[in-house]
Amino acid sequence: MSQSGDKDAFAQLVQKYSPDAYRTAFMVLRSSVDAEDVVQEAFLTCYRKIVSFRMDSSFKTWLYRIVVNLCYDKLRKMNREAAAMNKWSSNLKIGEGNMDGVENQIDLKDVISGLKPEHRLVLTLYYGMDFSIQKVAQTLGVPVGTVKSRLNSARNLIRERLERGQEYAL
Amino acid sequence: MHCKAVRLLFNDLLDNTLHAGEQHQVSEHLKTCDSCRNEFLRMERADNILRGVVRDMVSSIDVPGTLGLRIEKRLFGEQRRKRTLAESLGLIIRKPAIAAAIIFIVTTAGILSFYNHFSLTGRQSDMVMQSPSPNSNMDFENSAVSEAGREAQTAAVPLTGAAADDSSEKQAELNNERASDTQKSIVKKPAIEEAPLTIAQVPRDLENTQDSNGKQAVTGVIPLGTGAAGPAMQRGTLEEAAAEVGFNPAIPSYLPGDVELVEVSWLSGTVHQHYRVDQLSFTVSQSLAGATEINLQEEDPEAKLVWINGENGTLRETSFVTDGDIVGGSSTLRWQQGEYFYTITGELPEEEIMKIAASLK
Repeated sequence: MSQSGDKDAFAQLVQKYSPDAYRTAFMVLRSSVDAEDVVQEAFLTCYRKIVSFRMDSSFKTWLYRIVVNLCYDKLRKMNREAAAMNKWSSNLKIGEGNMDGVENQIDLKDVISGLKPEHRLVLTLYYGMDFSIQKVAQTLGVPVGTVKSRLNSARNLIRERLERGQEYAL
Repeated sequence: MHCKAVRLLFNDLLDNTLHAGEQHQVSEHLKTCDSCRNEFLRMERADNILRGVVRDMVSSIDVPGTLGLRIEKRLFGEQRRKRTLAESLGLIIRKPAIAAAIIFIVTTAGILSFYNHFSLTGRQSDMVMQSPSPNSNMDFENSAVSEAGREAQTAAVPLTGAAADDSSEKQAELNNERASDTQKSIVKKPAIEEAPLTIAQVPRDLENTQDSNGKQAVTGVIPLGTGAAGPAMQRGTLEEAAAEVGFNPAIPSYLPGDVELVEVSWLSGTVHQHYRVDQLSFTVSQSLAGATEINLQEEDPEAKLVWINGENGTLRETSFVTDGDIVGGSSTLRWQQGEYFYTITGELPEEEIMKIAASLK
């Protein structure tokens, strides 16, 4: 039905997918204005191209792929990541300063926020949106091995931080 | 299989991307090697913590309540402009009869307006005094219709005013549209179309200009804003979750051992029931399947196909046991039953997860 550009069907897709698409964009861009821009633009792109959309992949995957590409465009265009990294690195310094002997003060959210955007994207889609590895790879347009590699890096980092915290606690 | 080779596969085991043969080999090794088992459990713990933190970060993002509304406004607003242009050019050029009809209506309206201005001045000013709307187009229309039609429109005008109180932005846009689109303001419309319009109605209304009628305009309302808001993850009782999502979450009548329901949470129409005993935990998630058909096999082509209460589902298993005791690992079972989509994920072997799934009522 939505292939014919039916507005009711598309309005349902907007209502169903826009909140999580927004969350995904926000996890990458860390800006509500930019995240909303990206999600609006993504739905606009889908709506314009819905007639040519092939049903051999799900709408959700298609939408997320557009969201991801727009996020990357945004990061490149506005060079926002550099500014954001400065902000997060200052947070990380505060976190490290408080880590002397107290495991539960490790703020893993800061660690995740300090990862590269492509790593955060993988974590968001895999853990936050329950995508399978294959689907994450399809959405990002990268090999499955790349997704696994990014996941493993994040896991190792978290594990390292947890174990460091335990050492301090002991 | 040696410890070194087994440990290289731990990440794949966590990702559910091992082939059945490899998975079996790793499971067998973990049954007998305490060192590897402990190492895997540490990795699995880190994985679970990472999952929890990411989910918490994602669910704590506040989605603007009017996001869906703004997207629809941008989507359909853009299309409306395109269609109006297409109509204003295409219809007139391709359908001379319509062009002739418009000319006739314009001419008739002009003559009647001229007549009313000089013969019904007193009555017209009374009517304008009663109307809270200063819309000049509306006055023009009033002057162009019959006495009966005028009464109907007079009744309709306050409705438009009320709509402006509730949604001045939408009404302002609507008024601007009317003011700028002279062709549309000239074409006579039934009085019922002056009832309060939503943004969603505007594009439909204009799209259907050719054969517009009151019924189409009124029944075309999309319940905007009802599902667009994306609240953060909420926690509470099953009853509270049911009230929020609009359905009663199915509860498993079978639970392994002393497993207890420790938390109920819900987000974007999905209810999560978190069960736990000691180190064992799993989550039962349920949501309305919705209009979009979910192709489970497509989403996870390598998952095992299973049957739950006569329905097809997919299972990803990384569980393993030692002497009948659950040691670790996790499984994810996904299936659709009736109008609901279910996921059970956690540190459970296949037989346990299947029993729980079959007992959901």
